Amino acid sequence: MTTLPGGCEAVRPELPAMAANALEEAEAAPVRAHLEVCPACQAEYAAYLEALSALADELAAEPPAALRNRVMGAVRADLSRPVRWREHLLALGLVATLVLSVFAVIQAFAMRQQVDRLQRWAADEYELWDFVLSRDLVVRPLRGTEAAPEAYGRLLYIPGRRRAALVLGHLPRPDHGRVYQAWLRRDGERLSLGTFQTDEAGRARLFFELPPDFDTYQEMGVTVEPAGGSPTATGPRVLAGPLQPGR
Amino acid sequence: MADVGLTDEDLLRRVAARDPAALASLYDRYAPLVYGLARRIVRDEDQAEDLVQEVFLRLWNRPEVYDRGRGTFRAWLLSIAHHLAVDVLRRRRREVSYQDKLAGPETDDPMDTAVGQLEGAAVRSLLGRLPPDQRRVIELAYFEGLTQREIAARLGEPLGTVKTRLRLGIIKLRALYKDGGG
Repeated sequence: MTTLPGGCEAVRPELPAMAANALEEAEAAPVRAHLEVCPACQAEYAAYLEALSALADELAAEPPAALRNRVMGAVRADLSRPVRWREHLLALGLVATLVLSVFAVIQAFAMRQQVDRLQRWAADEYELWDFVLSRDLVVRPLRGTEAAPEAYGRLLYIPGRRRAALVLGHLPRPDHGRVYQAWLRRDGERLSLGTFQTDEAGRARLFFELPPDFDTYQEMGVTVEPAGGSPTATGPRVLAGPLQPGR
Repeated sequence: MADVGLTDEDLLRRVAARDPAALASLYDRYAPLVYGLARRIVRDEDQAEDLVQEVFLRLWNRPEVYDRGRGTFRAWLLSIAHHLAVDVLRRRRREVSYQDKLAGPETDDPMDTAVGQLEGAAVRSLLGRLPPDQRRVIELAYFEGLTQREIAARLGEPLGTVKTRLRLGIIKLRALYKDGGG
């Protein structure tokens, strides 16, 4: 007993009474805690349990046969019902966790996209205000054609700068697989400024670079084109407006 | 029997794998011991049967609780049965107030007399080899479910005396058990 950890001297005299279950709970708790960590006292405690169990040897009596059936009946019932239930619960828990995780990822992705959209929208908004607040702002109106009589638009640019904005409203939604495409026109020749979609309310904003020879273009227009845009205008024109005042 | 040659540990492993036949084998081995002990402590056959059922259902549900590093399965199982049976006694004692009896010194209590007449004769073949005062405190602790403090009150003896007797008695019992080849 040279390797007894601290506490053994206090605990060892209590072990016989502990084995006989004769300690008050307040006395038993520290002994139990010590037994958890001390193999030497565990062995001694086990020896007392062993000796006391000999008292039961002399009392052994065959229980009623019906008791065996009762116990085994409860065991079989447990085997067929609650165990399966527990396993189902576990499986259900795993599936629920998986579904929630996937849902959370999808939600996070959707939110990320929404945040990106809002950031783009805010950036566009700031850029638009830059045009609106400029003293040199030039505004060229576009009007709806017979294909879209309600539609209207404004080309905003600042002379000397390449960047320009096209702000449009009341445009009908193009058919499925169709987009709008904006053009500059001079003498029957067209230069594409890009394609765009409208929002739910038929509004659109388009930012683009003006060509160096912008001054030589006479007109601006918007047509309906197949998705991806066309090299030259093929669809009906929905908006048009002159670029030089008085023309 | 199909389990001949299988150790308790073998059967426990099968119980852990949810094999009811293994539990039935352990039941056949140990139910008479558990039943006899429970019946001796609670002195009620129905309650003793309930205790046997509880012990084996606990074993079925938590076989991993047995730690072979802490003695034999048999002694462990009987200590579980002993705890449960003593809990029944202690609950019963709380329900019916035994305060008067605990406060006074030991008298010729009719219950004690009955205890002596039950299976006591058999137990005394081992306990009877102890000095009477040690035998008495072991009986009161192990079969009556009294704590040392309650035994002292029951016998009208100092607590320290009771503690010493119980300790020496169980140590003696252990020595006798060892000598008997246990």
